[in-house]
Amino acid sequence: MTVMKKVLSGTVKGGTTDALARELDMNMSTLQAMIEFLENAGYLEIAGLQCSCQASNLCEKCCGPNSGSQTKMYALTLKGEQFLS
Amino acid sequence: MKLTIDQRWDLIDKIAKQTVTFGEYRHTLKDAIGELTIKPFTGIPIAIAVMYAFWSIFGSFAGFFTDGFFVRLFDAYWLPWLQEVFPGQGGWLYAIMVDAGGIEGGEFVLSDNCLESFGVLTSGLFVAIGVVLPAIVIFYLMLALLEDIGYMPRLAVLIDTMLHKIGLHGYAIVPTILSLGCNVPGVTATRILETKKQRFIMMTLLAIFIPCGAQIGIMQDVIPGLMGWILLYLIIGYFIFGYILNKIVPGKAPEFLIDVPPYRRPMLSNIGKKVWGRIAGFFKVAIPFVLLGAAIVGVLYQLGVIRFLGDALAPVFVGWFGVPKETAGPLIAAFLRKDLAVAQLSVIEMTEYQMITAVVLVSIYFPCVATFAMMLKEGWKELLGAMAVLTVVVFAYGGLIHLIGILLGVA
Repeated sequence: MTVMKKVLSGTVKGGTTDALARELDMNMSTLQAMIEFLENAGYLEIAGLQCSCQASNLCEKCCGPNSGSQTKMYALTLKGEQFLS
Repeated sequence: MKLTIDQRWDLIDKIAKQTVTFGEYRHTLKDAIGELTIKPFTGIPIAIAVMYAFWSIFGSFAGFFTDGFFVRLFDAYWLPWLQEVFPGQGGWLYAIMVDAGGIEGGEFVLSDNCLESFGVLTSGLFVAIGVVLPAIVIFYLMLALLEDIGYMPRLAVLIDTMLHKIGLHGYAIVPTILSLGCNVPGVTATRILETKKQRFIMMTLLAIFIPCGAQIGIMQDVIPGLMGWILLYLIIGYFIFGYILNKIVPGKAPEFLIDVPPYRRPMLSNIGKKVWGRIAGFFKVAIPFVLLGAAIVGVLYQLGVIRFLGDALAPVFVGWFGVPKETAGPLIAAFLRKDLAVAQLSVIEMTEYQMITAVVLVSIYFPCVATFAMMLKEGWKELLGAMAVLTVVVFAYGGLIHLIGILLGVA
């Protein structure tokens, strides 16, 4: 299985980017670059930029430029699913 | 030769492995804590310790202000003063606004504390200001602190696997914990879930199994010894019915790859904004409902509606749920004010197990009016679906708790 397929399969299984980098024996920065590419190319999408106050009127107050507390969640797109199958 | 995209990435990975050398990275304390709190072996005990500390501080802070200050203020000064100055003692307006009192030896007797007076200006204000406010201030303060240092994403990752069993993902912990303060922002926060299926499951579970800060505050005040058992029954119900809903509700619950941010020093301004925003929201949305709920309960009691419904439904409560028939009134009033219903239940004579059953029923019973209105705003179809599930759950789970009591010989 190619590295790209392994990363996409890792997304289907769920988990953190740290754990996936360890599992695939990849450097974290390589994995992050790959995720960024996969997102730009339409294989992955950001399903949520999570911050606990999101979806309420508090979000813009607490998740400003200095908050730094947002978590990125990536999900497989249809293109990604087709690529895997 | 032209390479495909994945062949190119394979090549990049190989070249990177052969050519790039990384110096030894020195783990900082922040990195070490980050790893310890996310790996299940160490993360779960830490999460239990954090939650234990959370509830200990919550109980101590809320208890200190409620018992040490507000109970004295309301019972020793506010209630007697209002009983004195409010006109029309014994009349219906007096009963609704100040003190419904009681009849002893054929004479009207005034209440001696705000929990038993059931007036809008006494019980209503006492619950809103004296019980709920200290509880939600400390609750939201600690929650904001955990969010701001970056612990919440780690908690979400830790329980992600468990929540996938009920069709949700780790971030469902956010609406769940928010609902422990007030169900209203909890329902709004279900929007952070991605699919309709997840939002429906979350909203239904919140409405049924998550007691709000008002209810927890009053339980802490009047039945502190039974709180552990009540919360245990609610947590078990949350997972049992979540699992069933995941099996029967159509739709997807996808997995995610999560990029967790690093820990950071909390910013006082962020914490201040979050706590203030949430408390301001509570004042605007929940307090009017607390007072309105207290008023409507008072009117329904005065009109005899709750007594009538209580008498009509008493056989169900006694036979199916195993609680005394006197609990029927408070359980019906729980639709309007769950906290007042708990306060009413606390003065009814019953066994400990009956008290646990009755308070669990109050929790899983209809959501309060404010939550009901918020759910309606999210969509009437979802609301109807949630109410249908709720009806089944109340009878099935209430009956099951009674059955467990019978088998254990305590019911």
